[in-house]
Amino acid sequence: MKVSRNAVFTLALSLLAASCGGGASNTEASDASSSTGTETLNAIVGHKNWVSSIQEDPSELIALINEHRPALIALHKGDLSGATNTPNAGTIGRRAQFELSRLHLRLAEVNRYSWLQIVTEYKTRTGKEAPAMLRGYAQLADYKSVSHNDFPEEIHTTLDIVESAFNDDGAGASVPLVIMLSQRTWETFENKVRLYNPLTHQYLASLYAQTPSSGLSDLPALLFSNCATDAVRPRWSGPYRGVPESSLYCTSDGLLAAAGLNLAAPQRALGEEDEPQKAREFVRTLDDAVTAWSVELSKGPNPEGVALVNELQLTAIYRTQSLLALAEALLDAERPRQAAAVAMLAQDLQAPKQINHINSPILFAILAEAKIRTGHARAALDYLEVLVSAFPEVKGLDETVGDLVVLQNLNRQGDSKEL
Amino acid sequence: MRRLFRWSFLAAACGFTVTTFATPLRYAEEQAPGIINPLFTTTMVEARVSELLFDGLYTDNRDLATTPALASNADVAEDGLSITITLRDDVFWHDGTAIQADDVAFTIEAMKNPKTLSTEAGRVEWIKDVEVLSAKQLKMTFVDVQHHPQDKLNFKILPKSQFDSSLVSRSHSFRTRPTGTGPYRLSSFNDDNSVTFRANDDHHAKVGISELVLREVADKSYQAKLIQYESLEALVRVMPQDIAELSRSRKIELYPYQTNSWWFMGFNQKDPRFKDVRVRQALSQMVDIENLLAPIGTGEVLSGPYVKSSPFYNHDVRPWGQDNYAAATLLEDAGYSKVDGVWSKGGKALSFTLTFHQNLETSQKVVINLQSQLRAQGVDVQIEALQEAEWKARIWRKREFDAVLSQWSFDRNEDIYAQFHSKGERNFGAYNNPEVDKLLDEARTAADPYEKKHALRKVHKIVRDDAPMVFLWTLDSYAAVSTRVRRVLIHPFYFFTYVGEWQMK
Repeated sequence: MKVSRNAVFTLALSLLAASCGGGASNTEASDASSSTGTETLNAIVGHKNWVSSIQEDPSELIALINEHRPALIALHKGDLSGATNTPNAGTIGRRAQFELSRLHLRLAEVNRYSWLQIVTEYKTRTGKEAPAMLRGYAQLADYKSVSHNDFPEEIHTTLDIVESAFNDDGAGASVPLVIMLSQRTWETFENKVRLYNPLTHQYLASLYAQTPSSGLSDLPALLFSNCATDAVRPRWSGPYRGVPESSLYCTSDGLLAAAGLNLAAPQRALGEEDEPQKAREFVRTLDDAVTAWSVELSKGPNPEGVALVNELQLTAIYRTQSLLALAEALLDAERPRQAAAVAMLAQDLQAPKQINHINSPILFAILAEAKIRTGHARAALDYLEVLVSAFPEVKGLDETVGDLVVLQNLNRQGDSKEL
Repeated sequence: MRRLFRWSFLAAACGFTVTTFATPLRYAEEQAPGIINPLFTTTMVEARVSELLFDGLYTDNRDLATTPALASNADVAEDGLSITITLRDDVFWHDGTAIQADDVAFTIEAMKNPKTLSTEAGRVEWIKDVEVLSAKQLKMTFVDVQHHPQDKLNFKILPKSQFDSSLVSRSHSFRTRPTGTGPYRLSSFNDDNSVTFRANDDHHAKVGISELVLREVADKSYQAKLIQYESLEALVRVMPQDIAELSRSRKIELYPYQTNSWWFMGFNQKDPRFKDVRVRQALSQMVDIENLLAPIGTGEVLSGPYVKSSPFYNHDVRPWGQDNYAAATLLEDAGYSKVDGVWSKGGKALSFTLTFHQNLETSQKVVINLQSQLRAQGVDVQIEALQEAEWKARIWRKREFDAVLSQWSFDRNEDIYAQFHSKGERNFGAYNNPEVDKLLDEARTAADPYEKKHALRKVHKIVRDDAPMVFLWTLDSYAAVSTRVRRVLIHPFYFFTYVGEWQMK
């Protein structure tokens, strides 16, 4: 389908205008050829993916824009809830749901680590065993553990209420219900204490993953993604309600593989230790290659495609999503320091506390988890604060991490200075 | 020298990092430190310099867990009322003498000595007594039971041999010839107000960069230019408006450096004009904070003494917000009336002097705008800039001011006791609310994290209502470091805690 250049620009600008401006891509080229192997450069430049597909033939994207414009605008700027709830969201809405599932799965991890630390820190800081209720909540949050059998009596009611809502022949289980339950406070510890439902994010991850039977494929599945791989599939299986594997959308490592990194074994490219310096150097090398690739893309034969790629900053989005996939793989490989370094380099620092087309919600969840796992729980709150604004169901997790921070600093001496 | 050159060349050819040619790391601060003596540290600049030159008994490791620094081991008594600490054998002062238990005892004594007027006295209030058991061993006893006293033993230790007694004067020569045990020693104060630090070759841990230079550059935007032109290797704080440009550079990396800082205009409540809460509340509602913030950059307007991401921030409490009608009503209730466009009472115009740090360019912008806003509302504001030494004398020690513009930075504990408790040593404005005192006392001794959180959220609400300050904002805060500096890890408060591991490429 031939489309006039003006029409392409209008479409693209309407999408971009609805997003936040600025991109995280480091457009200033350093000495690219001196710091990047020619092989890597060629591999990335020659790498075929959804961005280069659009550049060659934008017709499918233009059709998607025409059919699902509001949803696509929302998805582009990271407004996942907006993309899901927009009327006639279609495949774009399902794509956004998948991202929401991914987000809540990561937040479930943040929750899990937070609760585990709350129990251990309680003993360290107060000299007393954590009360049964806290230990029970930590067990609930630990969705990866095999058995949930030995819960304290007090939390059976909690479980019953949430489970019954979820099990109600599928009709009662719904995202709004779970969100509502997340905000209900369980004042079961003392009158002043508010413990938030530790199952929220697990259930939301599952609910959002239950996409309609026909899985996503082709451009709607790939758009604004990184190309997940077999390496990340295991993350989607587990003891909680199933995530259909057909929701996964790619079978190659994409940009990262072209740069010589295997997500299943990141240590081959990033060293044997969780050392951030190696990760930073890898990202800089990658960025040199991405810059060269962007230049190549801009010489493409289809001016409309080239214009769309540029106006929507698709290479920057692809780069960011690739880095976030790497960061998640590093978290799963017990390398939270490297994960934090990679995620920080993925962040659009021109708007550090805004969700936009570069700063997708999962970026903040990854950073929060990395910070908690490296002892910097207070810094995690800076990232969760961003998510709370967009996702009220994250409020409980924010409070939980806040409790962890307070606990870690009990009986410490505070320091303050001017300026 | 030739041999050195040959070996360095060979090392470089084999891929080893070469730091022989003393490539300094130059970093910028808005002002040079006013004093280098941990007893009198009041600013973040001074705290960062102290981190280079001095050690505590304990410090934070990279996971922010307490880890021994000068201590080699410690035994906490079963009753939790004392600790016996043994010092390391391999730690020496910059003058080559070995650290002794006497030095630790002296430091604590000096901090506690009421005539020293140490700004850090609060950090040792919980220590009742120190007994030197041997050259390397000491015993501390506590006022109350302590579960993990090591967490509180990160204050810097000073050499007893450099002082005549535990009554230490601020003007003591130590301030310009400091002797510490830290990874760096002071090399020189330079004519251009820069300060050079050289690696302490006797430090027990290796130090990767042989020289650091602190450059005083008051203009923050100029700092950003200097790092882009590679005339600096690090900026401690990048202004929000410079973040975009620096983030685009492939040669610079930005690191979050969120020191839980917030700006404020504080009132001296010993002044009869500001004793009246209605006057303070009125002034709080005359200020268009968003308008003040805009030229500075992006940040968040606050309603109280915590940043928004703090677990103690009470999100149910809103900032006062500009409301000229409400402000006028409050002033009228307080006995003021508008005469020729100026608020007056008893024939006297409502007029005060707003004092700020002279060297801080961003403060100047804010003060001028504040003055303009308040004058438009009929409040006469004079402005006064003070150099650092005078600021410490007048604001910190003598409390001689009407109102001040400044910022507080807090470590991860976000402990506001010193600023808002009636006995707090940083409560310059003499704020006094018994309920706040009670809640702060409760929070300090709370054994339960939930109790502490709730107590401090109540404090937030009360303090906002009492308006001892106009709470302004917190800014997005990043440090910028050249990619030529490797293995960078920044402490979220003290910045240089891990500087020994940094390397220059």
